[in-house]
Amino acid sequence: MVFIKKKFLKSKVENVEDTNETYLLDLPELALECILERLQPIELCKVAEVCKPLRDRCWSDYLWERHMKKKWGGVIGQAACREWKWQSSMRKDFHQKKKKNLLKSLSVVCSTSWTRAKAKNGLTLKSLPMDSIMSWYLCLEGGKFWFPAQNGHVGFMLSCYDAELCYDCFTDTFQARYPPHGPRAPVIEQFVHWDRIRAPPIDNPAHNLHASDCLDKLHPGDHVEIQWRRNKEFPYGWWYGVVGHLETCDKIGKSLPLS
Amino acid sequence: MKDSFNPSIEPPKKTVTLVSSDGYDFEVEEEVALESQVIKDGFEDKAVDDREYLLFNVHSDTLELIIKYCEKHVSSRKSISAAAASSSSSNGEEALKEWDEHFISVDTNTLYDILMAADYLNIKSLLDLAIQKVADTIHGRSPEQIRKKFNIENDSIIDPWASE
Repeated sequence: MVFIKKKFLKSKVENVEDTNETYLLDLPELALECILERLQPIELCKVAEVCKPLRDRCWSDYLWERHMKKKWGGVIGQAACREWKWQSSMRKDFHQKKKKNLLKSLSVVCSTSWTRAKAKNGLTLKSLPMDSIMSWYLCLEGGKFWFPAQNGHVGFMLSCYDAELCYDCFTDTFQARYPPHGPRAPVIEQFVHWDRIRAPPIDNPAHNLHASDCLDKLHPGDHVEIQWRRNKEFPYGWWYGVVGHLETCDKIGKSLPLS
Repeated sequence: MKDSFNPSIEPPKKTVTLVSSDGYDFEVEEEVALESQVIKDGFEDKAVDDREYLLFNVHSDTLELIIKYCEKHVSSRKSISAAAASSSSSNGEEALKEWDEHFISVDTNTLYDILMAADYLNIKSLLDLAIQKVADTIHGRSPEQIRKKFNIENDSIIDPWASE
């Protein structure tokens, strides 16, 4: 040891009284935040159940944004975001009305005892906010949310179609619900793997033709995706291709329209 | 280990004094004390003969550990760069990692004390190590086990998943 204890100002006995235990919540705010940042979603859920101050921290959008991006960023696009926002606001309205009615009837029946019991037990009606990112993550993870995305075709992986997807955490795969293709009823496919799914690169309904604004910038060798459908009753799919040449070409089956 | 590597140009070691919250003086080598960013930041402004730091928030028991950590890191860095300079193979970094792991395997209260001191003194690598240790301790534990391990009182919150 290089250091030496040279002097000793106070009696060490004084410090025996000083046995205050530190609590997790006494740690510096930034350090606590760093600890929570290093937790996996399942651990954040557990810590959220430990006590109220930790729960509020563990529910924060800030902590869940990273997990959301890491696990779901590749498959959740703008349409899925819109769908979630719409669904969560609907549910929020529904719950608020329900809560209001419940409180109203309770206040009539036993207003004082209810308030007293609530204060005594520290109970709160506050539950996980439905518009929080954590709530969204858990709905996705638990397979409670069907979201719009694109799904690569099994037979021809260079094409993909719009579908609604729902995750199954036990098999780590998705169920895909395709919109009706012509007269056929909607099809449901099981066990769709992650690598077949993507967020739609552009926000465009499956039955609409996308008006591309960069057709005049195309060069031979560019990688493109074109929309294709069998007829008007079918939704468009996206087909991958490489631009061979830009001149009109009459070789049957060798060229596809670029829009 | 390699103290006699080049003794001829070794200058006399400069030291500074760190005073713990309970009044103990620790005389440490300058470079060891400079592992703390807080000490480093104000170091040049202090007169050479007045290099004493009162660490009001660090108890002597914790300070002893902190100094042990800094000494180990200073000496390991030296031997790692010496090995790199002589291009001899070294598992110094791995050995240091192992040492760190052993160093931070302490009871919860000591871990908190180290974390608070590393935060106060701004020793980033030690703070990281302590933070990771707390996170690792949470891993695989139930809410009840987490409460027990970290001295947290159960304030009986309702189960958030039971709301729907």
